[in-house]
Amino acid sequence: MSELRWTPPPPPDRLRSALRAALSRRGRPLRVLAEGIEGLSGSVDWVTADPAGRVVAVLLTLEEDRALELVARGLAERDALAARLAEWRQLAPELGLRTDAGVDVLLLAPEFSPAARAAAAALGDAVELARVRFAAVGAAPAQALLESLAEQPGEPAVATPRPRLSIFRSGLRDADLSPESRSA
Amino acid sequence: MARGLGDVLHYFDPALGPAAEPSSPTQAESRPEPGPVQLLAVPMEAADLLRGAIVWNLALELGRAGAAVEAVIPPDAGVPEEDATLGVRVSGAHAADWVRATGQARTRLADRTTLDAPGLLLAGLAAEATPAGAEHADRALLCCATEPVALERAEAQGRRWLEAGHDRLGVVIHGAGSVREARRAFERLAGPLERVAGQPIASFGLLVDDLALYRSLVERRPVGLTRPQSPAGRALADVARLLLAPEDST
Repeated sequence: MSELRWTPPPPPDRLRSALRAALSRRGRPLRVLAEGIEGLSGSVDWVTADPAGRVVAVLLTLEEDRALELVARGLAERDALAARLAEWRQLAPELGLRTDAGVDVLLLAPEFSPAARAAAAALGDAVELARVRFAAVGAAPAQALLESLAEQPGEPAVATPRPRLSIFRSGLRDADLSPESRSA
Repeated sequence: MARGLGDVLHYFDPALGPAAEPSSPTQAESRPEPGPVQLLAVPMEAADLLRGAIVWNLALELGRAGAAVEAVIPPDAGVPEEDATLGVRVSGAHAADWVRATGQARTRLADRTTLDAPGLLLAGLAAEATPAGAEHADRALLCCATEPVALERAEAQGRRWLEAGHDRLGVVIHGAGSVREARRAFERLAGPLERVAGQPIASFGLLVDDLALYRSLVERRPVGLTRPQSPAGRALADVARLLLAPEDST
C-alpha cells in the first residue's frame, strides 16, 4: 500500500488547482469567484465566498520569510475589496454576496513567524492564517492541505462547531473599540 | 417647568419634534400610508439594570438616527419613564401588563411611521412573560455577554423562545474586549440555537464598555448624546445601524 508523503509545492498550474480544491474542502468551504485579480499591492490570488455569501480574499506566499509582509498586504487588500462589494453585488446579484459583513482575509503560507502571528492577532478578526503543505499518495498528484491557525496556543478549544448559517455582523474594528481612537 | 432636549428640538427641525395634529382634512388625507412596526423583545432578568441601560441607550440611539422608536421596559430595570428625549417615548410595564403596554406603544408608533421609515419598538421582557412575547414579538433580541456563564444563560433564554414556537432570534453581544471575542461569543451561542431553530440567528453586532452604559443610565445621560465618539458610543451607533438595516441584509 502506498504511503502518504510530504511533497514540495507542485508546478504553478497544478499548484493553483490543488489550492482551489483545498479551499473548497475546508470546514467553511470557499467558492472561488475570481483568481489573480489586480490588487493594491500585487495580485489577490483568489476572491472567494463562503456558503453564507461572505467574501473572503485569499493571499498566498510560498516563501516563509514573506509571511509578515503577507499580513500587511492582506489588511490593505481587505479594505480595498470591501469598497467594491456593493458594485459586485449589483453586477452579479446571483452570487448572493453579503455587502454588510465586509471582507475576511485568509492568508496561506508554509509557516508563519511569531511576528506574523502577532501582527495578525493584533488585527483581531481581520485576518485568518493557515499553513499550507502538500502531500501525495504514491504517484498521485500532490494535494494541498490547509491547517488553520485561528485558535491561538493557550486558548480554550471551541466546544461548539461554528454555525453554518448564522453570520456575525459588525461594522466595527478593534481600533473603534480603543478609547484612543478618534476616528468616527 | 424644566424642558429636555426633546422638548425643543422641533424648533430647529420640525421632523424631530412630536407629530403635529393635522390642521385640516386635506392634511390628514395627505399622510403617507403607515409603515410596519417591528417589536423586538429583549429577554431580561429581575432588576436587570444592565439590559435596561442597553435598551434605553439603544432606543435613544435609534431615535438619534431618525427612526420612529419607543421602548417598554420593566420598572425594576431602573430606566426613567420619559416622553421624550429625541422623540423616543420610554414607558414601564410589568410582565402582566406587557401585552397591553406594547400594543399601545405599537399603535402610537404606527401613527409616526411610513413605508419608507418603519417603526421599532424595543421591549424588555421578563422570563415569565416569554409565551406572551413569543406570540406578539417579531423577534427576540438576546443581549449576551461573552463569558461562558452568560452564553449558557442566553442559550437557555433562546431555547425557551424556540420551545414557545418563536423561531426568529437575534443576538447583540455586549461587554466584548475585541471584535474577535464578540464573534466567537456569537458563534458559540448561535451554533446550538441555529440547529434547533433550523434557520440563521441574526447578528446585530456588539456593544462595549458595560460600565459606561450603566453609568449613563444612572446619570440619565445617554451615551449617544454625551459621548458619541467613545467606544461605547460608536458601538451603539453600529448596532442601531444594523437594527435599521433592511431585512434582507440580515
